[in-house]
Amino acid sequence: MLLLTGYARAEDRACLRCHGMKSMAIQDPVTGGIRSLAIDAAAMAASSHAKLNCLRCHGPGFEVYPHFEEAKREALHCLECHKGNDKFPYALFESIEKGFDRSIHAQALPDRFSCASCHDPHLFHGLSRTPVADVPAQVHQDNQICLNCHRNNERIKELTGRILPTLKNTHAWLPDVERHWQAVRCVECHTGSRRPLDHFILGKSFALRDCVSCHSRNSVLLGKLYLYQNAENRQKAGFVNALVMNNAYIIGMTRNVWLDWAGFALLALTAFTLLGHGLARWLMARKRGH
Amino acid sequence: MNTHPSFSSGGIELYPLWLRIWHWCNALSFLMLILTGVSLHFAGAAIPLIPFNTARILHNIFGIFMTLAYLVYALATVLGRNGIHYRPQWRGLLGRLLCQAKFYGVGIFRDEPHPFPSTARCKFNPLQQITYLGVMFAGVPLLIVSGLMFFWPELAPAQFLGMDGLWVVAVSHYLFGLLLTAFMLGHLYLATAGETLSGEFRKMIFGARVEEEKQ
Repeated sequence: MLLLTGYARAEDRACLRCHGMKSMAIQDPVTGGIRSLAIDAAAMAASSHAKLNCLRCHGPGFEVYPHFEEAKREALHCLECHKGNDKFPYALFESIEKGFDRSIHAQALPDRFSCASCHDPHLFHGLSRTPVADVPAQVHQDNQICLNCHRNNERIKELTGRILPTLKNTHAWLPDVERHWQAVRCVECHTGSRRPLDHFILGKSFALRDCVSCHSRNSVLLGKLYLYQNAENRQKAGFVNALVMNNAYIIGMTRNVWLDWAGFALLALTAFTLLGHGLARWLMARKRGH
Repeated sequence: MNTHPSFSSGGIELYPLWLRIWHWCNALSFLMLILTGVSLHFAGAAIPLIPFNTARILHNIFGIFMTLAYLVYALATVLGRNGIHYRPQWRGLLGRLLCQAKFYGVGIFRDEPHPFPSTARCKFNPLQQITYLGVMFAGVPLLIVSGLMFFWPELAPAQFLGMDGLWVVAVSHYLFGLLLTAFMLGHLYLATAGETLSGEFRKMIFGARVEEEKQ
């Protein structure tokens, strides 16, 4: 038990006495399926909510066991903490809420979709302060959220009542699709704006299909996936380091201005030298009367 | 020893048919790779050269084409007679390089004769020989290997001197491409600096035979 609750703070140990067991589960009264109620204390300790104790989110009905039935039916109120919270950029979650309300998920499944449908609050690790070296892990985590449903046709059928075409088919236009999925998140293309953390998730009809949106100097990735790897860090590195400093390569995006100018100077110098030489040859030949 | 571009069957052909076909295939590929490479590198520019997705497909096709053509060239050169033109005589090389450089810097303006005309033993002048040796057996292979690595990015080192390995490969590919583009400009210009203005172009189209050297 100590092993299971080793990561937990004292006030959470009572909860983890049961929820720390991997086998902790109930039969879902609606679907009849088995629903896990187990909490991985180690993953929780590494998540964005590591500093919160259980009862911070799970209301008073969970203070006692057996828990109150009303409490079990109540949804989580993420925005109660996240909205108007000085720890986050101004009005970030107001914008997220607006985006989510317009998203294909909220529109198609208004009563069945909430923050926790995608973001498991016990596991979720936000993008902020993710070092570049950890971006692939971040991409994996975030894409897994989508794939949990979108690669699971039973789950999709349970939610929507229909079967969706396979992801490979709907993404056939995308070259090297597996590598793209390893390198960028689904939301880079499936959110339409350049706003960071946009939650206006788009269906396939409106998702980005333009390579240059990412593969250019003005790449949308700079405002999304690489939002926290901003130019500020590079400016701090100084002139010489800025010449070589780059941590990931994306065709068209990770252009080094200094190298571009050096290349332009080399070609211009070569062209001028050759033109000058040719002009001198022509003038000398004319002088000789050729 | 005179070089005389002709269709005659006597003597040794300095530019055999396979070499001429390879040369123009390589030239076409390289030109297309420059155009598509610039389009990919400067994607999203105000005036796009070739649309990104078209440029990507063409860059891949011509990259593979140039690689295959290079393999044919390298094999034929290493195993065949063409290779002898790339073997420098190291003794006195510096003096000959300076002599050729002096010709390009001074003699060419005075209509002086070429100091090292093409022979059956070496069709290149010393500067050409050393440059082509570096370009064909270092520059082009490095350009090709760094380009092919994009088909298998997992083969790139994860880190190189503290930088992302693929980024180092990409920048190397960019720099090799840039240097070889500068070389191509010089190559095109110096092709006008033969015995006549168009003589070198004609040789690469029709071939050029020289008499065998007597021992």
